[in-house]
Amino acid sequence: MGNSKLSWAKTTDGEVKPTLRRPSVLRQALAIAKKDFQSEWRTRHAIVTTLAFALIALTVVSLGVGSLRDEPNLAAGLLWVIMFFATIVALGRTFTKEVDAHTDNLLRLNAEPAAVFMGKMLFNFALLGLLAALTVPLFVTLMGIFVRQLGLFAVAITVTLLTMASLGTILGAMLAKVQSRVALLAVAAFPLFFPALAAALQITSAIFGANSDVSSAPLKALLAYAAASILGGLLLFEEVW
Amino acid sequence: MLTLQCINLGKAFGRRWLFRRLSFNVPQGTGLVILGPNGSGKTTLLRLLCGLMLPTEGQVVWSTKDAQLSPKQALPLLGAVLPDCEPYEELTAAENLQLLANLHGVQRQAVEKWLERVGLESAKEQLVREFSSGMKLRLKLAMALIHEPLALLLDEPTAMLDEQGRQLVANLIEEQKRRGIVIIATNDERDASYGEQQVVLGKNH
Repeated sequence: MGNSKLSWAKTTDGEVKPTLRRPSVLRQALAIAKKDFQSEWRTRHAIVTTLAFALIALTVVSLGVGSLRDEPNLAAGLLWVIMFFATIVALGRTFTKEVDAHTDNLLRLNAEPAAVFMGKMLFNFALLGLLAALTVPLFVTLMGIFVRQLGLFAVAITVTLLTMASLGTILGAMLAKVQSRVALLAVAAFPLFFPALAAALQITSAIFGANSDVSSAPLKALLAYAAASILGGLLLFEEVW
Repeated sequence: MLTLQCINLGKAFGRRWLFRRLSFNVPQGTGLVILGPNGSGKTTLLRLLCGLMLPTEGQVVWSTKDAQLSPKQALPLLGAVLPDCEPYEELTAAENLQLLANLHGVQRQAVEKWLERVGLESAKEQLVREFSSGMKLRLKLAMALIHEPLALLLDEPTAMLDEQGRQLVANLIEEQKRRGIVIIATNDERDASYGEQQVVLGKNH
């Protein structure tokens, strides 16, 4: 087949002509993310279900275990267990809602696969960011934890959520047409999320603990894994979409 | 200039061949009507032409003046109205068209132009979930045409339209032929007049 980037149809003044070139992947991704925000703003489905899950889990945990000021490892573990399952609830609908509404082919026909991946990842990341912004301060308050290195804590959470958003976007596309997809997503996501969760757990435990010295190794590992998951997503998405 | 060439095209689901050894050319400025009863593979053929499905055998080639393109490579040049290619129901008509305009890099004025063209300017702020079937089909036509594609693929384009809607489709098809190619899958004999060429599916394979 010939060169698909050949620009043989030109745009004349004020007149739209077809061309083999579409807008950049980033512009298409922003358009898809904007569409997802508009859609979510109208339905509030993902926000409500994810936050409801996180808040219920948080309340039950705080009632059950009380203050965890002296148990940094347990506190870090509980925080990431809640975040993991809330993420699964949030990401489960990323592509299934497109498949159920028969809108997935609209995206296939009109957007580059990499743009669909980036747009969905941006939306998922924003959703998880909102989840973290509401859940983490509440968790820290209810558990009576003092966070010593707030900046590092914010970076660790941000990078971990970015990794989970990226991997969850790929998995969501792969499992969109499968039955029992939310259960499968949890099972398939855990081994993929594990390196990021393990590093985040290590950093969070150190931050929650009395020892304020946090090794840079887990943060470097987390950053490398985040970069690999985004790059892998961009390269592989077309194969699963 | 755009032409379509299908060479020995065949699609099977399991051991059942929907169609086989299908070969035809569609030159620039032509309408092709795909006829056949329900289940004969009309929609499947349209999906093969735009790369949503892969053929079991044979090849689909879209040719421009300078290049030969696979269906996926040719996607920016195609517009399609397919049954499983729906607008977003929780968005308004204008928002759906704006999404497509953004994805194709088309100017904002095109949204207003196409809303007016398909007779939805008064419903532009209405959520698509409140639309009737006919209004939704008009919106799907506008979404397929907003980037003024060189080839337009239509599946049952008049099935849910009143007489005024049928006239709109007839006008859009004539315009499309001046720009490039139009391919219509239908089992309504009245739609057969839209094309200079016909492919009839549903014979034994």
